Amino acid sequence: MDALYIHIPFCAQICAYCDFAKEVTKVDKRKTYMQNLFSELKHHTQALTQVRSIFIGGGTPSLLDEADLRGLFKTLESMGLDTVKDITIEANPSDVTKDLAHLLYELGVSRVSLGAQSFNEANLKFLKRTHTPEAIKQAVINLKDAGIENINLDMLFAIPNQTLEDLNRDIDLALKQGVTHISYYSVIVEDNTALSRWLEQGLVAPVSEFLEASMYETVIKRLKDSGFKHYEISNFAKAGFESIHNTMVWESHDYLGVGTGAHSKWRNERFYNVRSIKKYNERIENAHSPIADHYPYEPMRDFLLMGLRLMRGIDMKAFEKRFDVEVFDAFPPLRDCVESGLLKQEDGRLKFTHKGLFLGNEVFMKL
Amino acid sequence: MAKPSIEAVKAHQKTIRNFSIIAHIDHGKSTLADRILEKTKSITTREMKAQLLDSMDLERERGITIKLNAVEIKYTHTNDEIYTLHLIDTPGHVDFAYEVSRSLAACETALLVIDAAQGIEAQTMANVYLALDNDLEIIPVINKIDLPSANVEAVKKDIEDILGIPGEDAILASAKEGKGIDEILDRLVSHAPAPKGEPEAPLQALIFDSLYDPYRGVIPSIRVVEGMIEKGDTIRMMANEKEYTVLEVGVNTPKQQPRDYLGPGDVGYVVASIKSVENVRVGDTITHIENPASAPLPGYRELTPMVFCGLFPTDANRYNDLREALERLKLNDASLKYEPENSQALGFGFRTGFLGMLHMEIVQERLEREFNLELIATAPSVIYSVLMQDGSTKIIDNPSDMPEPQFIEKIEEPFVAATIMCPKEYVGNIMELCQSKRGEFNTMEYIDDNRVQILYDLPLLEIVYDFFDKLKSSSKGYASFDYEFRKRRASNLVKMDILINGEKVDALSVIVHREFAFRRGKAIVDKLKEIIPRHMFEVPVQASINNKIIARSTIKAMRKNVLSKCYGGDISRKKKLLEKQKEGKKRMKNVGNVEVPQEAFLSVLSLDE
Repeated sequence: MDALYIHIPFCAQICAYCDFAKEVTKVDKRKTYMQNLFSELKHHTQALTQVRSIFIGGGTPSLLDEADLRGLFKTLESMGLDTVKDITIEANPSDVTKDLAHLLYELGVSRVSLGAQSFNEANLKFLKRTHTPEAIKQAVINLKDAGIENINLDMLFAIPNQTLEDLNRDIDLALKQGVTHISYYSVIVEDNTALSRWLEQGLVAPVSEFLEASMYETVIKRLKDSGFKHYEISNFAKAGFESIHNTMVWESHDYLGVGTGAHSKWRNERFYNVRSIKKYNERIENAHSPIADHYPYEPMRDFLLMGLRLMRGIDMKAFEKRFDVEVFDAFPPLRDCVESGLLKQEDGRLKFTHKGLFLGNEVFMKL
Repeated sequence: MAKPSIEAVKAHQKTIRNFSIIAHIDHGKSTLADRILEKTKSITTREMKAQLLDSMDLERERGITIKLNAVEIKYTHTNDEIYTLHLIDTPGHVDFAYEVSRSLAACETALLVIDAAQGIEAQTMANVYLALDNDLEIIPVINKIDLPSANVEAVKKDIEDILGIPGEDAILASAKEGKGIDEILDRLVSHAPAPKGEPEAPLQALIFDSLYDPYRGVIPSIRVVEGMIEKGDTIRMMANEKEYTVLEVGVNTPKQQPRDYLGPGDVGYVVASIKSVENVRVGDTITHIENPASAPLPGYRELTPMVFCGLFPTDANRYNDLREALERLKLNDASLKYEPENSQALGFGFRTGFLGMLHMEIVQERLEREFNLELIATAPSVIYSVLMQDGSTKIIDNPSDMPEPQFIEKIEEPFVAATIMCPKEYVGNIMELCQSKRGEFNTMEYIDDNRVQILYDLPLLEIVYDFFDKLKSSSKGYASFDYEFRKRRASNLVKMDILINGEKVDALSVIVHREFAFRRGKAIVDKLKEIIPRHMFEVPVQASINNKIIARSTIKAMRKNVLSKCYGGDISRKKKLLEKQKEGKKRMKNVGNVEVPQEAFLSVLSLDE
């Protein structure tokens, strides 16, 4: 197992666009969950001896109090995970006080991913985020003061009603914070979210495909111009600061997810845990597996679906070696994608062209 | 088996009453039929599904009758005599006017049902005229008198003023509440004539319907007019001269019940191992080979389809399934015509002919529902008669077959005589609509203080196109409408082709009047622009006449379609989303390198002009 994902499903408030496993809960309920999470972790001690990266995501991991955080890291320590090089934790900017920043540093967190989303107050309110633009700036300062320099900002574009000027202001401010990594996602309307209901009811208008494309173009150009490397469809990093954890997922390494709704890929299997905290607790307390279901692992297709997301693409020789078939023989329609200018071959690698980057699904659909 | 005595046959004949129920859609015909069956205990309530006579699900769902049925009812009158009533149901739609007329020809009496709140409508009139054409005794029934909005006096006055039938004789009924049913039965016995006809005369039996039984073949429903028919007889269909041996005769109660014979006035069925519905034509006369009738009964004509469209399976591999499904439907529907069609855009399918728009909708729906087929239907077309420069004539039912204009002398299109009834405040709107549809005004008259009847000649093409919808919206739904074929007439028609990405799409070609060509061409290309999804390249959509472009719209190239989110390690989410996009593509047809959704092929029918 190369990577470990730990899910913390608690939130102070539900964001308008979020469809991950999460609940607004009371403190005592958190304690129970954390105890069960520790049990699940310990159960996997054997499998995790070679793990290189840990990602603590949510939900809102920064909602955990000091005792819970210490408990979590104590558990990890007790498992003797000596090979770990990188521990990332997600945080809501307004949670990152000086104290929390110092605590995270002390516990050995190497990287913090801030759910900044936007520096526009109205947009943040619209998305039902609880933090202010000011809180993002303060969180970055607090982290740096505490000694954590490796910081990611999670940003959103194509927010309903957002204009290109709004976006440019957001990019200005994101760049100004001096962080090492920026993830810039376009808003995706998921079913069963507040946002999907607002759109259905016609309360808000979606950003047009044309504006969305211009926005994406703007994001790519401006971040590149400011010294960020565009290394995945939605991810940008200063040299050497690419996300170790996510890169392992994109490169089809094994990863284990613990906690509610967490997904895992382990050898030739994919599976995920139950989403409800109540069910999760019951399963663990009764010494049952928290796995909700298994789903198909399609090695070649998954390899390309994930690998092509990286700007450097996939190593065609490595593909052939791994699967004993040439990539174009395995998926003949990929030739059409090269011909129509969505993909290109360069230095033995197959990767998106600039055009293909915008139309990735047209390639993925052929797989 | 001993031959029945002539006296016995004649005595039975005196107790027969054959009747139909005629009404405008929704005036309560089927409910009334159900009540009559209930009252005479022809079926127990438990046996009865609502509206039993409408036996197909589709009919029940739509509340209309498509297929005719006849039921024998035993009714014990207050004078203790037992009467044999035959209720011959009729379809309630203009598409099936010919079948209605043949059903009426099998009766002596018609119950004319009029909704107490709606009054007389266009179809009521059409049906009354059909009944009068067939010399039927008409018994008016004012139904739904329980409705708060019922206006019995006004309807009585309508009956007198418009139909010329004494209004005070009308029976007041509420089929829903079972009111007036006794009176109807009593009136049928006392006022409706018993059938005429001689048992010893040469056999003349009218075919007014047929059904297909997988074990016994096609079973015609007949009304014996003259003579007798029994098992073992050798019979001939007078129109197509096919001969058969009778295996069984009987009546529907509504279950099939064998009888020794059917005599004059009897309504029943004949089983004779008839393989094809083609050989059992509605309106034809059955006679004996020996001692045949000298002439068939009057009124027979061949059914000719009025409306055509191409039907193609979405999945090309299901062409044979579609052929088999059409064959199966045809067993029960002689008016359905089809022949193979090969479209460049849609592949192999069938050019299919229908009696009218409703018939077309019903057939399509049955194909999809009963045979699980996914179909692409092209826009309906009418039959054109094309006089060529060289003097020959071509019959064209598919716009893409229209010859090049330089070879055409003139094109004739079918016109119908349309009867529209509406409250007077909508006359202006409706006349405007008819004018815009190239209508020729005939007459207009007030049928009472409030309502007007307007007669127009209209091109069938325009009716097929969107006339119903427009009529509804221009009269807030108050106008009723009926039509019949009138004539063919030369018009200034042209074929308009549609090009997608520079490629002509045969299945989208339409025939239009030259004056409407620009407007309609623009409307079609704009509509297609809405329907066809963006591609990775720009796609022009053009309308052309005689290779000259008259309208164009452009589908801009797709700009962004990429899933930015990572979903943690959850690849299944990504796959689901991609599957959804793929699924959408599957339902499209490839025209060159452009993917065109199915609804595009019907888009010419729902334009905002």
